[in-house]
Amino acid sequence: MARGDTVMRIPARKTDLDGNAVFGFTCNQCLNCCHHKKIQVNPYEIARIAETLGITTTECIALYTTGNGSYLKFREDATCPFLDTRGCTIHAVRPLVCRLYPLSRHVSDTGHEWFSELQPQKNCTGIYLGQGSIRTYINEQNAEAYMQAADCYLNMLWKMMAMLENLVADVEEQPHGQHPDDAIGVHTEYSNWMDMDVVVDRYCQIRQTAFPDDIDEKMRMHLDALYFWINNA
Amino acid sequence: MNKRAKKAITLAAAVTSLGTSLGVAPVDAQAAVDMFLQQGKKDSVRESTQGKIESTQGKIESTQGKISNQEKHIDPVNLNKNR
Repeated sequence: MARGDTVMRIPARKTDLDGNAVFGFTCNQCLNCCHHKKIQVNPYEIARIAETLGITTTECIALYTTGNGSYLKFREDATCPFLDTRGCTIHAVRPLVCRLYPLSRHVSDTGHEWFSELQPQKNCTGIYLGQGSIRTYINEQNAEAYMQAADCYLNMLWKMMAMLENLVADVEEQPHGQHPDDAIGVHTEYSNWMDMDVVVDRYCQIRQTAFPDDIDEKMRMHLDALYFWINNA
Repeated sequence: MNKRAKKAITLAAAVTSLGTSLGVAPVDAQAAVDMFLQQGKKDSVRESTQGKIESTQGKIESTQGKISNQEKHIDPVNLNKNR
């Protein structure tokens, strides 16, 4: 979390749930959960939103996110920037946390996954069905691809954190001279690393390969570039 | 600032941003950042004072059970708007 940033977690009324836990929910689009929230977004989700809006991830990050692309930037009236009177204007590419709600998903650094059922939103008109399963609900929300993308970036994050710990512990100077990073041209300002289009554009220039239209391929290249950087710099 | 320090600062910023976007508890992402920044500051001070200050040695104690919490959060700053 960025320094000075604050969030309040929504209390969970049930937790330590697995995919087979009984759960069912029908949203009636009251839109109450689109107010007064902080919505996490990762590079994959930003790319999906950017594609739908016909803009670059750079533009999407600048226009719609805060915390260097970590959260959606809510309006002054505390509404989601993609909410209009009819509802969500990016519903087909909404972020994972919106798909999961009123659930939350937890993943440990050992790969253990579990879910929580959050306290209902005040004035929510959704209906809890008392049947079905979490896994069924997730599939209905088409959340699987978003969960997989989150896991890819999570694996990257765990590696980054381990690398940072090692950098602190390692007090030896780096050798001078040509650095492997220069060979792939991934020197960039830190604020660009989470911008998929910027990183992939450089990656494609160096490797002399076409900039992909497919977001899954772009994500693969983004992660490849990041892995190269953390392992070779 | 040497390349290692530059990389660590860049990495620390990436860890913070990516950690936030994936709901990794602030203490987990920030702990690694803060430890390096403390180390980095002491290194730079050591450079300017020619090694008179001892830098903190040792690995960061990693928080057991780092967890990514993928969920909507409440924005406490704007909580009372339009209610």
